[in-house]
Amino acid sequence: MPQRELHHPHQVIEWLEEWGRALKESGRMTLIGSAALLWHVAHSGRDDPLPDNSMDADPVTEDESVAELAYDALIGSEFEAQHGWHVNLMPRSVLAALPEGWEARAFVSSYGNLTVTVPAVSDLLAPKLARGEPRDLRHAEFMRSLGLE
Amino acid sequence: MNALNPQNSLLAQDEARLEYGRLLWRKPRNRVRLLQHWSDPRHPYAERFLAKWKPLVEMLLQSPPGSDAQLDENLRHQGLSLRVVVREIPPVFGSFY
Repeated sequence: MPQRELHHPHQVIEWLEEWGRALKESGRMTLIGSAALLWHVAHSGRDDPLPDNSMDADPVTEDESVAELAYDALIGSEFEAQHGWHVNLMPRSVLAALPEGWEARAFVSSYGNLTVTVPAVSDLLAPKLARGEPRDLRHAEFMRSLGLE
Repeated sequence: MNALNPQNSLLAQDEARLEYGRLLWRKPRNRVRLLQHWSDPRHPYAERFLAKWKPLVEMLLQSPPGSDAQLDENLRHQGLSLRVVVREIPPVFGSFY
């Protein structure tokens, strides 16, 4: 039985590795939102869970092959049944909400055929802090508590 | 500024459906799959899609991303707008896609 919802950093890494194996050609995506924060936690070598579970991961892509995988992982999909959460493709315009110059500060990692760009924690948190919703503030505090901001 | 970029008036969800719909539409296999899904009697939008919106949605998804301002202008001559037609791109439901 899979863990329900997105909670632990290793879930994000396992998903990226899975897509990296599934892609027949090289593909790229940018990861934002809670899944990106979890990626940073995993990148630091920890597996601390998010204070609030997330229902989905939010990638942005310009690659058809990655979009195809994402459409097979939408809400209600077999992917969701297996993983307990789904993928929610976001439009490229959401990246414009990140602080200027975020690309230069971003992390880039490869998982098989998949190359993932993850904005820096401070850039990911900026729009969350601007919204100031309790869940967003808890996520910011979570990253601070791990020394990752 | 928004007048030149009608996408600015779209909700993120609608914008994503247009952006990724166009991306997937380029491959015939994906086109067939999307049309079958949207025409499936289980799809809550199927009747409406087939009765009225299919030609406009197809036209929209075939159009290049840079053509939105022109598309919007053309649609306004028909009493529509880019925003209205984008919202008629049916969602994809993972359970039977």
